Amino acid sequence: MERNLDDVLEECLERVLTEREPVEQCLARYPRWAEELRPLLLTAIRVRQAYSYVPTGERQRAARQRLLAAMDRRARPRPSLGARLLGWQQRWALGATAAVLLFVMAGVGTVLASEGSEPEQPLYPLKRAVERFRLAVARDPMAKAELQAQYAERRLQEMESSMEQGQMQRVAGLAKEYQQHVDHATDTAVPLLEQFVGSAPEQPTRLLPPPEVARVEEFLRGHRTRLEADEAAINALMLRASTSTRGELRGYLVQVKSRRITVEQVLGRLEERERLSPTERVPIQSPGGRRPLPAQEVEGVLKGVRPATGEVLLVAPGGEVVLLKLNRQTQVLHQGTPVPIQALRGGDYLRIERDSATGVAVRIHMARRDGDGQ
Amino acid sequence: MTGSDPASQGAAALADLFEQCYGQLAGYIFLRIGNRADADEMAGEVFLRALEAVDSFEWRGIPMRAWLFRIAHNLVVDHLRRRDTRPTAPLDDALPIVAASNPGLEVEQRLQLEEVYRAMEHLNPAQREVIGLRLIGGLSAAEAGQAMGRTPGAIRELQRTALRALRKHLGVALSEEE
Repeated sequence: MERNLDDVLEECLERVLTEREPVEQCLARYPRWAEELRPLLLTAIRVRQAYSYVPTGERQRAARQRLLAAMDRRARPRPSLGARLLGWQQRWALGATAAVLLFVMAGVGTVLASEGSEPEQPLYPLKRAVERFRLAVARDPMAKAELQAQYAERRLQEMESSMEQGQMQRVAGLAKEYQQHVDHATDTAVPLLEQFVGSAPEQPTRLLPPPEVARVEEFLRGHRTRLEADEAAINALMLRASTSTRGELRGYLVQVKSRRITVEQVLGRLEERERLSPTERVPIQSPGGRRPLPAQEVEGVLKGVRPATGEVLLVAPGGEVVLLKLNRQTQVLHQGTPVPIQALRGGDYLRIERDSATGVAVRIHMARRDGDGQ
Repeated sequence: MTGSDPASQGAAALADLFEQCYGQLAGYIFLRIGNRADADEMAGEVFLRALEAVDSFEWRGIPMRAWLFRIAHNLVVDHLRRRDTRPTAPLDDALPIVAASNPGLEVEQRLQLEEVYRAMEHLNPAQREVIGLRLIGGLSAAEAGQAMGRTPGAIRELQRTALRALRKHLGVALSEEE
């Protein structure tokens, strides 16, 4: 009887804890055991809830880095027998030199010994694992996109070396992975820029502050150039491929072209948008009418507020992005009446008086984009 | 992809398992030692120990996940021995879930955790181990068996007795939950 109860309990734990099935629903499957099972399942849920453990992100990142460094050390070639037979003084000296070198290399990004390995080599799985690892460690979507583009180029190089060896099946497999990297990179970066070009110039783009726009744009310009070169490389591979592999490569070539066109289209829309400056689209009328601004004043369209850091981001009429600090004394005025800082909205026109010594905003005169009737 | 060196394949598998298992290992260790900072640190140490020994892993005949928990268990035992205190230690001040936006929830979670933690102290070491591996670590009965050197059937039986013991010490409020 107990053995049967154990089996049923095991199944119910799986249903309740993993598949999130309600306890009563699970018990309905086993009416004979329901009374015994209920308290056990509820206890299991209580324990699971109490220990819903989320590790500290910082410590997890540090642990990743330690593991990565340890993998890096393992991947380095072992010292020769001669080196291992050296006296301790020499080993110490060598070790110290190596430590200094490692330190210097770590400062600029250590290149894993496995990273130059080819698919047929023993260290290749480690190379791929490190790639997955770095993707997991990447701090933001664009960092991931940059890595994906880099790994796409690696796969293409590996396709070429595999072609040299006549490994057609491997070429096809690598081509598939190449395409996946290209897709990930493109599908990450293009929507980010589309959000920007799709919004009106005077509207805030909360998801993509201006410095990020430049980063995405630069990445996509490089991505387009790389894809053009990749198309030529895949064409060259097709000439040397077997009939079946050539067919597969042709399919990937079409997809790469399609991705390149997607990139070109969004870059084209960005260029179109930039031809129309914010001032041409939305004439900014300062509340007091146009006049030369004193040196300590700045005006523009509000792009965003960072309450945590007390900063506001403006786009000045010339397109210049201005970041200004606020403090507790900063006054926000709407039609001459003080309003809380929370009243500021993206797209508001602001004229800001700054402290000439510190640059901190002293007074903000605010006007709504669509008039001051609100 | 096609490399065949067992050591580098093992290291690659470890890297893949890091994202999947780090939190589970840290949770399991936290349940055993009651200190969040040490648990996070030791979970990282599990992977470093595993990497050192990964060359010989192929011959151990158990899934790598179970092996990682076995390493974690050994680290916990060493840690508790060094600390030379009772089997489970008082909880640290850190909550397992950070809900700063809702202090009421934070307090509730804290109380719930302390209640379960106190109940866990009534279990024997094997029962605590099976609860940690199965409910927190997320291992299957077979994997937990491999980590603890027992049959899956023995694990299922142990888990039932552990849950019964916990039930007894968690009190009547349990019947009102779900």
